[in-house]
Amino acid sequence: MDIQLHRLDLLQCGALQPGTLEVLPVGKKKQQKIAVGDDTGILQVFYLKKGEVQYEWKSPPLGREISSVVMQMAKDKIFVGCGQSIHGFTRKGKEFVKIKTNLTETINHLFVEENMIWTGGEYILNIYDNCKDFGFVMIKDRINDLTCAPIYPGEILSTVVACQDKCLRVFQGEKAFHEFAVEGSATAIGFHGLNPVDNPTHHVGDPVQMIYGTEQGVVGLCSLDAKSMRRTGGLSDRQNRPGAGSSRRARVCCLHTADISKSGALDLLVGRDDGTLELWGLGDAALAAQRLDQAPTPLWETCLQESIRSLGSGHVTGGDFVEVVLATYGGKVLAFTPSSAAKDPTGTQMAQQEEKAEAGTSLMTRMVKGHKSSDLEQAEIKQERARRFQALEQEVARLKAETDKARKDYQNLSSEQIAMQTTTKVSHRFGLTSEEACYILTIESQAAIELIALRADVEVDLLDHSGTSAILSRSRGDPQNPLLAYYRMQEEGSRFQIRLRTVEGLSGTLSAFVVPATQPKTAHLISVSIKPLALHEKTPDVSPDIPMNELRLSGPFTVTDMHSWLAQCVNELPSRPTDDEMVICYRSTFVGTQLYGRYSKGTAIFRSDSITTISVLKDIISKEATGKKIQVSMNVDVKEETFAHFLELVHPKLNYQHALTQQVRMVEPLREVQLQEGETKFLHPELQSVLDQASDIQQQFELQPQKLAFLHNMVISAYRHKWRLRGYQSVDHRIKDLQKLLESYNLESVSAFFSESID
Amino acid sequence: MIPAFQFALGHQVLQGLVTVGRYDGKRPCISAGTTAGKVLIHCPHNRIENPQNEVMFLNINRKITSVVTGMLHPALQRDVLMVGTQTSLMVYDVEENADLFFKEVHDGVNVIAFGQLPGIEQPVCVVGGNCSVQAFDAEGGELFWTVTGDNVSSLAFCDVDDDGHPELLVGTEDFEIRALKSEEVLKEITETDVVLRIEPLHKCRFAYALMHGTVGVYDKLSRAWRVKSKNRVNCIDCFDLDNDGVPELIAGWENGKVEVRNEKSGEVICKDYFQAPVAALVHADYRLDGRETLMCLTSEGDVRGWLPSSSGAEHSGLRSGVAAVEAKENDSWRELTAQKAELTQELASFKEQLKQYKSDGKETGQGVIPTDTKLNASLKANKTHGTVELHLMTSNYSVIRAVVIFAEHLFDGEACMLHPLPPSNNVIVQISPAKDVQTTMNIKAMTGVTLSSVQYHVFELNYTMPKFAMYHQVDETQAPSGAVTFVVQERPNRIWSWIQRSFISIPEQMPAATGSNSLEVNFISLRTGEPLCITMSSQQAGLMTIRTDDMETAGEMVQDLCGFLQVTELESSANFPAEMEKFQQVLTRVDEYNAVRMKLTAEMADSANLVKALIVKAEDYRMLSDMQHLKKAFSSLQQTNGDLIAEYNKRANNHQQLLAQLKEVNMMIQKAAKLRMGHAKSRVVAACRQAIKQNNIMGLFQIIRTGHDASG
Repeated sequence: MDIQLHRLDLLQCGALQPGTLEVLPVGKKKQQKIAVGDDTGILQVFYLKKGEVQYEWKSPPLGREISSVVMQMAKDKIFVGCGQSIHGFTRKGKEFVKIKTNLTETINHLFVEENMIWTGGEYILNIYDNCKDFGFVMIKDRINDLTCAPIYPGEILSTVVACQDKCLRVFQGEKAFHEFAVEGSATAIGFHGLNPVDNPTHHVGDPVQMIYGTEQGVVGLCSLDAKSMRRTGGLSDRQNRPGAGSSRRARVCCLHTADISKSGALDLLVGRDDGTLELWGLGDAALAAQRLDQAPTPLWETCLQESIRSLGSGHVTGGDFVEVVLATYGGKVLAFTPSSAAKDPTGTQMAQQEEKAEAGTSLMTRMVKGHKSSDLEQAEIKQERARRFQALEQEVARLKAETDKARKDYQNLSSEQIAMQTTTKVSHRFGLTSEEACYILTIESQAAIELIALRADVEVDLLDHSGTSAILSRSRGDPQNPLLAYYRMQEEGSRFQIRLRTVEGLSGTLSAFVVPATQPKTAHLISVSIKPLALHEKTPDVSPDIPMNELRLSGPFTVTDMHSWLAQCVNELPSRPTDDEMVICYRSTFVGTQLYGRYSKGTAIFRSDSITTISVLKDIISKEATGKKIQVSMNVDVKEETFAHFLELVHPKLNYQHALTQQVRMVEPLREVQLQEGETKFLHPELQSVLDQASDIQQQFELQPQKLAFLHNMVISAYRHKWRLRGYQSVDHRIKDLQKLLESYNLESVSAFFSESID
Repeated sequence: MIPAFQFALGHQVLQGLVTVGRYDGKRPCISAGTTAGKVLIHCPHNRIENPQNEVMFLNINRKITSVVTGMLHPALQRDVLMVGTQTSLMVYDVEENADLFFKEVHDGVNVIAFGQLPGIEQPVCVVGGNCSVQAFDAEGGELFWTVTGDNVSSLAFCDVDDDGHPELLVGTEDFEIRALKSEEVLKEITETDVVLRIEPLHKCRFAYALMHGTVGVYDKLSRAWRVKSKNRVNCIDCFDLDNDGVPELIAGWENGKVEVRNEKSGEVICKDYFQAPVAALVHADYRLDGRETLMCLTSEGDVRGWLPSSSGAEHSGLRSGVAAVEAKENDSWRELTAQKAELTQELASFKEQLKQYKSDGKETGQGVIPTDTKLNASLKANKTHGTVELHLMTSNYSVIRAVVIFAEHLFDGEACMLHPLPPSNNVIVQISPAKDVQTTMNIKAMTGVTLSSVQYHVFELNYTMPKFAMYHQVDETQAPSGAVTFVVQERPNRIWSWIQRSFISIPEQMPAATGSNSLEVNFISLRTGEPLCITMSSQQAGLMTIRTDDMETAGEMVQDLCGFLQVTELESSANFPAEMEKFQQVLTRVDEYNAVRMKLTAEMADSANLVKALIVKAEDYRMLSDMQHLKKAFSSLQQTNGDLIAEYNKRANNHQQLLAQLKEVNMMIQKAAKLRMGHAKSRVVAACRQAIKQNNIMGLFQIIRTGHDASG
């Protein structure tokens, strides 16, 4: 089914936090109001009248950025999380309760039912009963989203928490019940349909239908009950774009279900980090029971170019349609409606429709009257449009004058217009994509970005990122700044991504100066640390029966010491140790080697089938320990059989790249032969197949030009580390031979070379 | 973009070597250069007569550099095919299967354009080679010749001065676009990379594409817009795809993308994608239905064609006219809303600043950095490094964390970034421009309080780098032997103000001169350390001398000075002994290489004959089943083959050398011309060509020295 949604710009407020927009429930009128709280600390409630925004009420500034806005379950009270305090407002805008919590974390997530309040900070889940502490749970990894539902029979609702460490966790009070592994870091959760609390047909014990989204862009549908979680369906993270081939969908920011397409069944709405808003059909209403088993179909999609912070739905324009309401990073509040009247952005037609609806029956008579009145109507609409246009133009002119005056005033104070403090919010995220073994630095700003200047004190490979038209210029680096580069934006955009790859074993800092195109002009410095084992990602466990090298440490260090040293090496570690004995499992995203670690007070053991990993760990830990003046004794056990295993792991990749490089060299000469000879039947079948797939081969090669060199370096460094850990400082004379072997690659010979003795 | 048709040629197509010709005067054929020195001709309309032969090949057997069609011979009333190779130009009548002419072109053929030159009645085939532009008529007679600053990379005709006659636009590898009216250069535009393509848009506008992925439009020699992409642009074409009466700029990219851009604003109207790099974009009435189609060829030989959209015609229609107006209004409404949001934000920002300033900033004046901070910039010469130094300094303790400088021509990329460690309140940027071009540097300096600041104020500064910044003024220097002398009717203080504008670190006040009408300024080049003197004699009114051993620099200065003083005609006499000696050597070498070439060609003919003989012999032995001798014959054949390849390499090498020397010759003529202005300038070019043709070396030297040949 083709459905067209039209965009309505409702409001522009300050920068927004995730989950700070709510559509108020239906009141006396059918039309629903919207509440939104922004970074200036003001909560505002507004509605649409004749296509124009009318404010119902605005709260006084609450002092901090508003970090969450929710409705009390089944009631019409609005609760706002703001810094460490919770504010409750009535429908009319009266603040009836204010709770100052003694939390240290910002209240990012909020859930309210009757007298119970659940709050979620960075790592801690808190429960309040009648404004008094009821319980708290420290979660193993960062909380990305939180909601509550009747899953276990009991006095209070169960809490579902979406965590960074690829888990959905279910708690009943302070007690952990379930831990479900999902495809990636869970970034959003929601219900399929209403929250069962609101749903009178739902009984305790019935499975709860939920949806979740992940960092990698997967959306999953699942059914949750007291005993288990069952994944019932989902959206793939792949999408095909013309010309660019298939690419990954972006991180899921928020999820919602509503019947937008008027099919009788609920549609799934997905708001993503790159600004994509998707509408998915979940199948026929008639098949309600099995509908989740069907593959969803994409109905409609648009891209807003800035990340979506909150999603909701309701009758906001007053028509018969259920409309999508959303808020973006930069503070835009938008509605998407199937009503064609919204095609007119001035809102005139919307107003017209509203009047018609109010007039009710008179509409019918007008219709009967026919053409003449329609002409009249047309003229009316035209006039109204012109009026609105004029009003807007005047408004813009007035603003311009005012801005000019303010600018001049400020210039009198500071001739260079040097800002007291910037008012533009800039934020960033730095994450690993495992399949490409590279990092993505995402930078988002409240205003359009003008340029980004990058600097790093270690070697960093900047990779081409499809989908941006920014122009990259590199400057010649010096030993202090090996990477100096800058991006100039060509198209206006407030969001930018850079893909980069680091060399394992080096640690350093990457800084980015972000300059938004606002006056007074201010640059924001973003720094992210590049860790020596940057390309490792967390896994639930390691496979037991593979040969591993071992590093044993003992000495007078605490768990916290070891934990902080480890944090220098790998990502995704919780901010502090969560147990007396910590166990970590990591996997190298590129080769697939593993790292297992177990440490407690005084002892630590690390195992890995990659000698490089062990060597890097040893270096960093000894450096850090020396810095803290802690005597640590180290013992390395280099197992000979790990190298064969390591080379086997690398083999498929190396072999493929090697063959590809060979084939690419042959394409051009073969083509010439083909042209000269006319037919190619006399060629060896292998050569014929190269000719057949010539363009594929070239394309593959172009996609990853440096990959072969990257793999070679990896094997060479493994060789170096092997001998270094056995006490040989330099094996440079052997490296040349190894390089030669790699050029004419053959697994057996390289393997044999590794096991050869060095003397 | 919905294609109207699509087909595959089944052969590779080389980038840029595609044209459409009507070889029988009626039916269009795509002609494309393909691998192994062949030209492919696709004749879909011959299918009826000759169903097997939709695709024909012409064997050129040399590396093809350019393929163009046109009615070079007006009497024929049909297009002929012009094929350029590295050493020759071939004009071929496809219909008759006969050559119109074949000509060795010593300067090589890099690009061909077909059109009309002023003062020449018949259409000509203009050939751009190494530092030269030549024009031939249908018989192969040379009607026009001039020199350019570097190898020609693109040619086009466009009426850039709006006088009703198209000028010849020449893009060269030294990043210049020159507009030529006969031999006279109307204007030189310096771009930022090799000019790959120039296409006339309409009237006085033309589009261009650069090697590093920039496409843009010039309106009468001033840039209207440009966009850069990280991909390579392979081809551009101008075609009215949306049927609004104005052609759009269509660009085909290395990554297979085809973009249609509005020629006024550069906005992308629509785009399409291919799996392979786009090789060429052409347009013609290819289906013979009276409608021009845009066609795109990929390097794999896939062809896609689009018709001009019919919606454009509807736009002008009455009914949908309302809708169009409405759509436009809606767009402007959205624009206004966006503007409103932007202004609101800016206003809020300033109000916040004012509030904060009033509340606590008043006493301390402390913002992101002290609010009275200023940034000073100045240029200085650094003799030891041979660079120009840009000094940036804040007026107080605030430190400069990073500097980004955008400027064309100064850096490898379009900008340079610095991150001084440890940061201090002054930064020195070393700049060494490779070319003498005046550019504006757009400096952005991120300034903060300390190393650990998170927010930085961005100082934005535009600073001009003068054209001759790489020449540093000194008090005394020994006078170089080379010099150019000319007379300008100007007072010394006018000359002084030119010097102030074009050099750095020149004092405001003219030094107290020895005579009222004399002037003497000395410089040394920061690149080479060579001296340069500019003097104005007091004895003879307005007699100026620029002393340097570098003829090119002297020429640049003459041109810049004339531009500044608005002098349009200038005669001068030149004396550059060192350059002349070098030039003498160049000419000797040209003779040598030419001699070697003749000799090698003769030798090769001998070897080729030997090959033929050996093959016949071997065949005889085979018939006689004399395997032993057969083997022998083949081994000597192999040897001869090896010799031939070696000979070929020698010849190729020799040819490269010869080309390089010929380029030197052309550049010398260009340099000599640049010492003059107006009529004298074009006269030098014409006289030099004449002298070279007659092999009159003495005459050539005299022309370079005096600007006149022996007769004048």
